[in-house]
Amino acid sequence: MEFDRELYQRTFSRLKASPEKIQEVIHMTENRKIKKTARRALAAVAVTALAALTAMGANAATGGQLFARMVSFTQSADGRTAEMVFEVDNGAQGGGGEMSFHIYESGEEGKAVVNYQDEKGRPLQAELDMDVDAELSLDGRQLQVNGVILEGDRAVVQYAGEDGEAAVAVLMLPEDCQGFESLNALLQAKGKVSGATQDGGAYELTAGK
Amino acid sequence: MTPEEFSHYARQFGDTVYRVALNACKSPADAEDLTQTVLLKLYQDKTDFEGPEHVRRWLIRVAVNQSRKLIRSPWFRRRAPLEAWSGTAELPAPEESRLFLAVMALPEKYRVPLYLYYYEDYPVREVAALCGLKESTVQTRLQRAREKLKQTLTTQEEDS
Repeated sequence: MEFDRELYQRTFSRLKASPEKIQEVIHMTENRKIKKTARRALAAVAVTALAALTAMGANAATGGQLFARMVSFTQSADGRTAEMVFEVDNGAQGGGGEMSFHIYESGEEGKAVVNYQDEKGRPLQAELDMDVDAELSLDGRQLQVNGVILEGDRAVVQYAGEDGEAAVAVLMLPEDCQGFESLNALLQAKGKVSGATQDGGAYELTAGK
Repeated sequence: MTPEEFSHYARQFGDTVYRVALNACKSPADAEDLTQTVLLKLYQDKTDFEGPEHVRRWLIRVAVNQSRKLIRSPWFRRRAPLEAWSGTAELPAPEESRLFLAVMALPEKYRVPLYLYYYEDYPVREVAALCGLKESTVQTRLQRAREKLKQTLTTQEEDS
């Protein structure tokens, strides 16, 4: 049986992206301001979703990793609000489930409010600070911080990874660096913060130049 | 790139990006997310594109790279069963459905070169460049993909 190129082409020509998804991304780019908001909204959701996931904890059987699959993503036309649903699995029997996030930009400059539920279904709210001016040194790499959530003994920071993708690091904060209102306030008080990441790497946070 | 140019290229090549992503990650939902990500990168990129073919190559290369990144990410795991995909596309002819499932059952390293060679009509040299592989590797993967497909489809014919 020779390879049937015509059948292959006919079959795969039927696979098409949803026209709505294409239109959505075209709409995002028709207004520069909307595009910027959409990107920040996506970054905010990614940071907060991951922060909540890390709070859930990871099962030793999975090597300390969590697995999450985005079930749905809906964003308003102006990019100011977004809803995401993740299916989460932490490897434990019955561990995980669905988590949904609703985010919107608050009236305050540079703040985004994220509403979600924890694994027990309790409603939670986190405030994402996007008006940060900080640089992160992570295992020898110099990175620009785009957003942060301060959560007790840890800071969940979002930075631009390779190719500008949103990447996240969970930084464990020394005791004297906890309880600050914002990362900017923390760096103003301390000058720099250094410590270990959640997975054992080394970091240093400094104010932006 | 102006919004008008971007809109034109998004409509012209959105399906191409989607098919590359679907062949790579096997999840229609992830493939659509990747399509949006790749198209946004096009809009943000400052390359002075020489024409539509240059844009198409750029999009395919970025789609291949972004798909690999997603697959290797520790935060996402693909769990959609094979049979779930056949319902996502309208494949009216039984031979199309059989071929689609057989192709999706191939390892990822075979599917993307297969698509670029047999659907996008790129020569081996170009497939190698787009996938970051040696030409000899692409030749081997295409050959093995054909052999596996032949085996699968022949067995199905004999069983039916």
